[in-house]
Amino acid sequence: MDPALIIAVSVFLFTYALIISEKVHRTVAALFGASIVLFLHVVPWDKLPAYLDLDTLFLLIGMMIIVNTARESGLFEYIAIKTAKLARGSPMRVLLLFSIVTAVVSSILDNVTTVLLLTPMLIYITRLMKVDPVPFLLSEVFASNIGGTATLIGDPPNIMIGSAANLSFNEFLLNMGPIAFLDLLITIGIIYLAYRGEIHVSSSRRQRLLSVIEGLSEDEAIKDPVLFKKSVVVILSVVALFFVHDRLGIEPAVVALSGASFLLLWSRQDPEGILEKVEWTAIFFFVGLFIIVGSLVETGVINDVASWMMGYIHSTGEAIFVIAWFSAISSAIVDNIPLTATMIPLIKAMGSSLNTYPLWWALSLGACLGGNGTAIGASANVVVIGIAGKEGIRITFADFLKVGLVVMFATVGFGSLLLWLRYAGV
Amino acid sequence: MVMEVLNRIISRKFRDIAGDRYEQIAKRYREFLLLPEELVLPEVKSILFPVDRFSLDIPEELFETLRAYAGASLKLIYISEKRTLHIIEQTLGKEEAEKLKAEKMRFASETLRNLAPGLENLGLSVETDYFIGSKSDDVIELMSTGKFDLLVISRCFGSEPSRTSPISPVVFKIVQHIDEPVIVY
Repeated sequence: MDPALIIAVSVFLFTYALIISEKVHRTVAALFGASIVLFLHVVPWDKLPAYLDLDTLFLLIGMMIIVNTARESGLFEYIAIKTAKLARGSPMRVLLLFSIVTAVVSSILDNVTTVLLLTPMLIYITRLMKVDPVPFLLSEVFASNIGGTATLIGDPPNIMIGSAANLSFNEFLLNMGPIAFLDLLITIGIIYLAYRGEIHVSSSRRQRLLSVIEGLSEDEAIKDPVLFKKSVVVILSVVALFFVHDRLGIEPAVVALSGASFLLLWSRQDPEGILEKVEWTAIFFFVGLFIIVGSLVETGVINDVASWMMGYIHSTGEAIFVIAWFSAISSAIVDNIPLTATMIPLIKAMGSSLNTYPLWWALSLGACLGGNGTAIGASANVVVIGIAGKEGIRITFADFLKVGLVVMFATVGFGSLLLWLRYAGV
Repeated sequence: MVMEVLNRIISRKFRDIAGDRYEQIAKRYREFLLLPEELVLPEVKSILFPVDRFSLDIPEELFETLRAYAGASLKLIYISEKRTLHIIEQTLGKEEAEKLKAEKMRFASETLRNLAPGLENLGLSVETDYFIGSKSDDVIELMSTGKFDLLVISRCFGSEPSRTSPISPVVFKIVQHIDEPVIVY
């Protein structure tokens, strides 16, 4: 057996094990694995640029700069207070509106930032209502993961898939948007059915809640009104540009980087402070993974696995279900970023005998929505559970699992059925 | 067992992902989000007011503030640091230490006698006490009994202030260990 192949597979499995165990930071695990395959020339240095997906890296960096600059203005606190006011003291409306707003914001910005900024407000409102915050928090988590599925920029797996398969923002929105929308409705329905007894407040408490919420001023949340306006203009312009990037012939990463640099130039914010807040650990995690997966491609492992899989998959319809469910179940256990990084070359290798176009959507569906299955399935889950814990609200792994698995099976099942009907059904 | 391990993994992942971002965001929210019960000023019926030789310069503004609590009981205590007496005993002998202790007691009772009338004039019911002990630990212990709703303390309590440390380390330790409201003057 080729020693390079043994090294590549060993490093890949060892890194995965380290990431799952959480014994070391996932970025350290990925960079360590990458350094081994580079040191041992499993991935030759001159081939490195081919494996580093700069579209993904620069799109992530650009969006992180925009979000971190906008955050300084108080934009997200403003959105949270506005949403709370729109709910008008009704717990059902709080559930619905926060889920919808979380999904919409997550479809444009990263899920972790979205839940970090909206969760404190949601906990505050549930405390005012004196209701169990758990259904509201779970709904927020699921909405965040579902919202991220809808667009090219909503979730890192989608960014990676879009870059690898050269899919446009509009293609994502048209293929994944309707699925995400219907899945969101299904999820809210599941949460309502599971917790309907707890989503209720008396009319007197509702009146008191209303008076407190009405007393909040969203304008007070705006720390820097000028930056606030500039941030809104840039975010809307960037989203508008995403809609036409394919027609203009520019990559999504260029749109994000242009928006980021323009916002920095226009707002005169301290670039050092903003760049410090870019999640470099996440960026280097991607770098490490791209190199490790590159070693699997370089040694032919990916081609071998793809050929083996093709022996069992005979049609696009079958492939949709296999990829969607394999990705979903794996994403519920493993971080969806390494999973997507591994699945991308695998699907590319299947291109010789299958139409891979629907398979990208199946991968997006499974990788993004599989995260809803368990508490460790997605970063947003961990963040909301962590915040809840800090605020004295206990959501255990088992609590999450009971609802999460139902949501995962329902949303992935429904989504994969729609994809099958559209691309393989009669 | 498995669930415990998984819950620990969640905590570790949260630290890795969120870092200190949540603390910053929560701090920002706390500036304008208060629950109705947090908007209500706590009722103060009993006050602990420790003093020592460093903290006898009491500003007029403090008396004005304490006037708001007329009707409350106030325990005015003078604490001498036992470690100081111990060092004197170790270095100069027991006799010298006893002499110093007597001198300290005399100074403490005179101080309390001078301070109490001014506080009583504010409408407070004042009780005085003097003892030798640990300035930080004894105040923390007294506050932890739940008998006091408010602590009034000088920023110089326990040591003289310096340019680099405007609040004495003793006060710093006390305020970190108690849950009740504190007036630091």
